[in-house]
Amino acid sequence: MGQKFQFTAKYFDTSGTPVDNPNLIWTVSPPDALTIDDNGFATATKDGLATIQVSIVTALGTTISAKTSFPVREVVTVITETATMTTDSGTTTTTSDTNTSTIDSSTATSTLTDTSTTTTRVSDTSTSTSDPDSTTNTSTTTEVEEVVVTETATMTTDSGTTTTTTTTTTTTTDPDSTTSTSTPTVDDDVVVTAPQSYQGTIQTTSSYKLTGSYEYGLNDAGQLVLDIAGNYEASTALPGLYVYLSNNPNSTSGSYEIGEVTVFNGAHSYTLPSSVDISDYKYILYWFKPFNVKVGDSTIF
Amino acid sequence: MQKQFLLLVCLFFLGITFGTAQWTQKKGTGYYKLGAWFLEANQHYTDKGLLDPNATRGIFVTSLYGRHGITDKITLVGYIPFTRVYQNEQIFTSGNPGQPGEAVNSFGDIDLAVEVQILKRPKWVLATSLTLGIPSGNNTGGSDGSYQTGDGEFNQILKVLVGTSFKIAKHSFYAKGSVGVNNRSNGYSDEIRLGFETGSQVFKNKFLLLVRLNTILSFYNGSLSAENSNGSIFANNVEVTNLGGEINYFLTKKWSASFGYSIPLSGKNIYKAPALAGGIAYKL
Repeated sequence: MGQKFQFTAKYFDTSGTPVDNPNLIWTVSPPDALTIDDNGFATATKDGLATIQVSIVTALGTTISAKTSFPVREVVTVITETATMTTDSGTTTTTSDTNTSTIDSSTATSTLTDTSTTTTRVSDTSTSTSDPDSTTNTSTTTEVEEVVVTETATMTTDSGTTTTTTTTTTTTTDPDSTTSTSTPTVDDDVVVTAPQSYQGTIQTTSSYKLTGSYEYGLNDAGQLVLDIAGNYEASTALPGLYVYLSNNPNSTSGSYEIGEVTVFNGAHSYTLPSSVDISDYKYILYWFKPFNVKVGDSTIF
Repeated sequence: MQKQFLLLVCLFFLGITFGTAQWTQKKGTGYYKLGAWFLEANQHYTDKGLLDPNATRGIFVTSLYGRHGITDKITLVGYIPFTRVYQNEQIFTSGNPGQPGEAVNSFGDIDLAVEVQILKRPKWVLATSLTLGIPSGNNTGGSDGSYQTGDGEFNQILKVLVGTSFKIAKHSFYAKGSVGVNNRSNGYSDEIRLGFETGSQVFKNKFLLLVRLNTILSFYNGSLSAENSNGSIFANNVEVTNLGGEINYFLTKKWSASFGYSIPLSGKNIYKAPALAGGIAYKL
């Protein structure tokens, strides 16, 4: 029997709205440290440090994840000691001491330089009964050990998204039981927050001149805008040059066509419809439509 | 763009046809040719003179060329092309969206010219010509306007031509050169046109072999570009140096067949591809 944990995670979309029934993927490292089902219910299968990672594949095909590490124990140790002492007067004294321990580690670590704190509180309760009429004196000692582990895992994805998971695990020994249940509570769910804007540089991928900086994000009116900076320059020898948003740096397949390029020098902007979200597309493409070839691009995130 | 390109290639092949003609026709004589030329290009010279890829496009031109002497010193010249511009359907296995095939067939820009003999000496000839490029082609062909068979503008090309004959090892050769200015309208840049050609008849005068080098340089004084919504590829400032050769076989004294090959050596805003030409000519 091993420690049991219930992990939960929530996935928020870029507008901050929690997504119902996200298709969460739980993984364990090392694989033999825990077993975990699709609902996040885990059981320790060995002693040591385990890492739980929860991932989700977004609609864009990108994977975001958060993980946390903590010590686990497979077997709950139950120690019962009985001592019998016989006095010189012939009195026999029997002492029974039962100690059930689940987590005896005073530290917990978390990958990705997580913060981890562990507090241990031990309370002893001793009761002693003495019957003057009896020759037997019984003394019982109960030791309660409570371990509280708070872990915060922070991970930054390639897209700049920060995912934070805070997990508090409280474990209390139960001297009357040979089992111990440890249930972590997730204080802060997996939160995905997309940046409000991106900055980058358009670069040529051809022999045609194409360069310039841009900012891609929401304006004051809440509209998604691609703002091309004043240092932008493009060859005027390319009638039929179009600009796209795409998730493939080398293809306009599945892309959003912003429109034909009509400005070849200086600042200008493209206002995108509300149907386009800032995280929908990863690349800006400049495509020479008549020849069906890419002229330039930029990676948004 | 393409229209411009077409114009240039037409002129190059006009040069080929000229190669078998006299400087000027004598009165009542003429030279008439049914010809065709073809190219398919999957790369082009950019505005910086570098090579970039493009969707493969083809051009096939069937043409009638004729020159007729109305006096001993004045020759009228006409060139009527019928042009097919096409692009085959593109299919990619990489997931990149292809493009459907497309083609446009129409008359191209017609050229009408008059040649005037200025001086004639036993070893050399000096002449001049004025060519008018009639915008009879389609300059907005195809779904995106890039399948053009004409440039939509009126060209006026004024040339000075010098020719000479000479011998090397008792073998007769001819050589001629030309310098011209193309005054273009509708915002296109004017151009300088340079040409050189030399050739000789061989195998008991049954064959005429010639090589030709033509260059077009732009004045870069036009206003058309993608910036002002000119919808054509290679809209302006086209430059090219083209090297070609031609074999003419004289079937009879009046009939001949020709095969030509030319390739651009350098250029800007023009396809990079060899062109093949052939034709049947009749000398009156």
